[in-house]
Amino acid sequence: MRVPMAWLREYVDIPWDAGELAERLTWAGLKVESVEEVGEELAGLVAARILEIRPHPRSPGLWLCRLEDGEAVRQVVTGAPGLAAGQVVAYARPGGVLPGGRRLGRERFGGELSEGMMLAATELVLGEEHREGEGVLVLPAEVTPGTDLVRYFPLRDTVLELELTVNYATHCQSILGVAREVASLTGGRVRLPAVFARDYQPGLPAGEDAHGEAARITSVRVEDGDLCPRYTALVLEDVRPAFSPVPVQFRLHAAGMRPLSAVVDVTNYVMLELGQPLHAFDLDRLEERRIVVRRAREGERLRTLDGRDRELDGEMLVIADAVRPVALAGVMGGEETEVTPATRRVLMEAAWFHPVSVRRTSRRLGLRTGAAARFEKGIDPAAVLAASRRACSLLEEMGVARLVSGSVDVRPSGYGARQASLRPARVGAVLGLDIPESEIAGALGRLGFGVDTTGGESWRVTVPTWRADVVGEIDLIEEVARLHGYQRIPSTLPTGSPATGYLTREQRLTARAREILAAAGLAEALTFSLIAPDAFDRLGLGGDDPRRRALTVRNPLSVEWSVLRTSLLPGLLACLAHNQAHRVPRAGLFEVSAVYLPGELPPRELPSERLYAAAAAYGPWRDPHWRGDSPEVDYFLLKGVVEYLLDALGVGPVEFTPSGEPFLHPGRQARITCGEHLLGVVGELHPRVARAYELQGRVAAWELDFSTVLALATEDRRYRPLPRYPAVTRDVAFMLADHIPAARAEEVIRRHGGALLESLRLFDVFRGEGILPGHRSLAYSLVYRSPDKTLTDREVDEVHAGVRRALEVELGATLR
Amino acid sequence: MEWDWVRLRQDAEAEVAGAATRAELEEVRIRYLGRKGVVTRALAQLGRLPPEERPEFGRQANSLRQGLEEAVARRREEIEREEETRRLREEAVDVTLPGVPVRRGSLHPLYRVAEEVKRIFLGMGYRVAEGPEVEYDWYNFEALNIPRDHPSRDAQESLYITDDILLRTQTSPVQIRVMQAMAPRLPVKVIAPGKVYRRDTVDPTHSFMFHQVEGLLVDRGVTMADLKGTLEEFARQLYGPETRVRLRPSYFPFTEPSAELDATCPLCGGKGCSTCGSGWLEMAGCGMVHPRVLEVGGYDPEEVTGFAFGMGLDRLTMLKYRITDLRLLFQNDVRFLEQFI
Repeated sequence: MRVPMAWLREYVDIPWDAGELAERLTWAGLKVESVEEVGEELAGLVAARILEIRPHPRSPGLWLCRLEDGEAVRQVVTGAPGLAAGQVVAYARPGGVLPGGRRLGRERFGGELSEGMMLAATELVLGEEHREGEGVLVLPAEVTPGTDLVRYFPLRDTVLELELTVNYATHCQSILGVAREVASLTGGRVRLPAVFARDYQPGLPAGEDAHGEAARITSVRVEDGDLCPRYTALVLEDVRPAFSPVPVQFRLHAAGMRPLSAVVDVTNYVMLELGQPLHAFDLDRLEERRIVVRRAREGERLRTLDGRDRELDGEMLVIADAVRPVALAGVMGGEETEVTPATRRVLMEAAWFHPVSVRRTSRRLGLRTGAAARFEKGIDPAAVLAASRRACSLLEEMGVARLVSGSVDVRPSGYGARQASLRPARVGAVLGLDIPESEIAGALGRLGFGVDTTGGESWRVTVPTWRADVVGEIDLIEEVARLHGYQRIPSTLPTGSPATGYLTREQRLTARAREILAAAGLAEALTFSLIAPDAFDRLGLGGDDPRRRALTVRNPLSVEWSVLRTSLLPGLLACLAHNQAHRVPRAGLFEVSAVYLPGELPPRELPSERLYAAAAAYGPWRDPHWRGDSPEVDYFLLKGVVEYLLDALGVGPVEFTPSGEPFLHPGRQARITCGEHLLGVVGELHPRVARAYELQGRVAAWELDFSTVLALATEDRRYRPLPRYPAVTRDVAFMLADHIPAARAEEVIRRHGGALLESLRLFDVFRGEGILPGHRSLAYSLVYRSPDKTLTDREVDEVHAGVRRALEVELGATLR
Repeated sequence: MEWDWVRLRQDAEAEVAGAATRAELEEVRIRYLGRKGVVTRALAQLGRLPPEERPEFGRQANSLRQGLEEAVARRREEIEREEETRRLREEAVDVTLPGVPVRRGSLHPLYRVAEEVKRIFLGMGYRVAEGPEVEYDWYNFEALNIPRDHPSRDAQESLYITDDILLRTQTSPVQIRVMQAMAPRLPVKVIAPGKVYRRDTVDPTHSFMFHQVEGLLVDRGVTMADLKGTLEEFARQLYGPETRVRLRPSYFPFTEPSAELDATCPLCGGKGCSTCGSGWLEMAGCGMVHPRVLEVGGYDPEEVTGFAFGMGLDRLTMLKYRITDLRLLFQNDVRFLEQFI
């Protein structure tokens, strides 16, 4: 909402400059976004008297004009018709500047000097080419040549740009509304236009008033009163085509609207001024010259003023004549009945349409207009007809139309001031500061509320009709708060019921997991929950893979982000690709976040949001270093990270067994389980998938169902006594067929090592010389220890021999 | 046989002093004090001397042996010290060579800020609540006083799954879920950080996914002054004890009165700079929980009042680390992430 200060000052005295006013309005809840000077650039625009006019000697259709502009006598070449010596016209001197910054100079037309330019109103107000049918602006003859036009009209103002919140948009989308707010701050009074003040009707019952000439010329029938509680019509005759006076055009321009013709300009002017949208119909183009307000019928169409054909539906309220829709109620008029230069009679519509109906129509058609913006927030029903009369009287003053007697006013619903109750004690209880009752009543009074304090503890408050946003007590408390000043609210700390703050077990463990993964050397990533629909194809998931069952956003901005992820890996892999594309030599990412697993599809219930954890990495594990290079990321490096994580969370024992994920290397992947619980997978990316993500080199990754991990995690840690007796270490190396996993060998070793075997550690895996094809050599270091004595060599030898024998017998291992 | 004890001592001490290594010293020691050494042999002669010479001879010989033993021990210590000094000198390294790198992990800056916010509110007695990101329209809008045709739905264009299910546009629905779970117990005192989604294109200041933290206190006698005090305490812990706050009127359908909370800019201390302009930064949207929202939550607005606030975590993060492009938070470039060790 743009508010020109000079316009506002017509309505209310303002003791402050624009800056202070902006500050005070902002603190009262009307946020002033900016303060703008309009017309600052203008220069050299003056009145000038035509001394002489004669045809251009060489160019037919052009004239040579000699002008006196208060400074000098100048020559201007013009094509404008109808000028005569003695007239005073708008003139831009050479060096003068028009709106928008265009600077005028001296030119030659057909060899004749032309200095500056005579101006039409459009050039003067907008700095744009004059409109069709518009001539040079002729000023009253008594205006002295040299008079500065910027001051004369004026053509300069300070404009406040308000950013209105939804609640204040109900009553502050007009100069009048803002003036009321200003008056509540200054304690001053609002000055209303006389016509408006006289015809303002604070309350009326439902009914129909039709009288005078207007009622004989036209009629109004409201068929759908639920969407149109009030519809009024006034009739103008003797309409003649004209442009608005410059001050009106300038105000429209300053407020952000385009001047068009006098009739249209006045409807806009009054809407900006009083907040009541108006529409002017060419009365003689309405079939049977009457108005029917009804819902559109199936299949009806309307070409709106913007020249577009609109298909209407049965929920849209339209203004129709006897046979067809002629306007979208509260949104936009129709082209066929718009006011044109040929219009001789106008039906001026002023109505009160249902906010939700207007909003729905406007949204459905994508038509956001000033009228819709006002109707959908709620207008002042008491001002409807008064605003219409104000517009008609302005047109009469301009001499472009004559208002006929009488009016038509159809009200399916009545209206009037509503009542609300306010307990003054409640104000302090909500705000946390004491405001004297007299101040509460005073604040509400200045905002136009009627306050009856005779109830004592509970007051009766009359809500003005322009405050559709105020319904209950809490709304009144807010009004008091903003007028009293939010700055005066003190800072206190709550003193209510005791409460302790703590994290739940899951929250604590999740935070711990993220710290562990960071400590393991991975960088925490934050990826979008939405992925591309082709992510599952890129992973090569089978057609019936459960991860393909994903929720899809119905109205995505981009298909790239339209599917709710069922795995964290697509996001992480895309991020790895981003890093490789930027030539980052190594990257290791992890994320602990939700995936969205739907039940039935399409969903009727919310999906299960399960917490997953995942990691993905490529490149050397460490930066190259002068002490030697680091291992490259592979299965085992990321397996180590998973093992660390699960161990730190007390989850175990954990098993890794070969698995068959389509997106992982078939020979380098494992399913991670703990007892009967499947925790996740770890592996190297399948080269085909790596290619699909444009990833080079080995990429390893894992993903865990972290919700399951959390369920199995324990924070219990029990102290194990430190050993009191020395350990004995024995190594065993053996050749084992490739198809027997090391885990089997370890299981055999543990079983036969029994209670004395404290730990075992694989320290070498070897293939090559001396090893049969299809086999490898494994070397373990076994630590034997007894908790209650020093073991003798003989005791250890006996157990160790048993281990060696078992490896041979049970696994067919060849001892080395 | 006549012994020149003085001469002998001088020679022996000269040899001890002249030994340069432990081996040389040992040679000297053996020559004099070894089993066949000069001194040992001299003492062996003792029995053969006439009895009257024995005491003098014995004294001289023992004195010599004792003196030599001490001299050898001293010299050995010297030699060892010299050898160690030499060895240490040889072991000297270029201390400016880089250390062996530890693989450095990092925590995402946004989560770091979220943790800090949680820590502050935990200290004030708040718990951390969670709610679904895929949410019913009813919780996201209707229950919060935003019916289907409410104008404030314009500002929050939503990503819908079905007519009734959407990606939550704000963390505020957690207010309703927590109240419904808690009612009628008091106080309700939670914060709820999380992801939210709107139909926005990604640019330096916008994203379709971003993060908020919601706060809610419902209890007997909660006031707007408590709201201001609570957020003031939060701002001071986050930005420093000099921070000041102010409430500006605003509008949210689910709070009334509603306000924006501004804090003095931590970068310039409120003097005004290129980041804040005026010296103030918007920190939170907030207000007193609307009576209808309390009712939906299962509380009687005549009995209790409450305040609620919501903050943008992405903005707090960008401010804290002076990040100027929101997209950096979601690109996961490790050159960015690894700055947050």
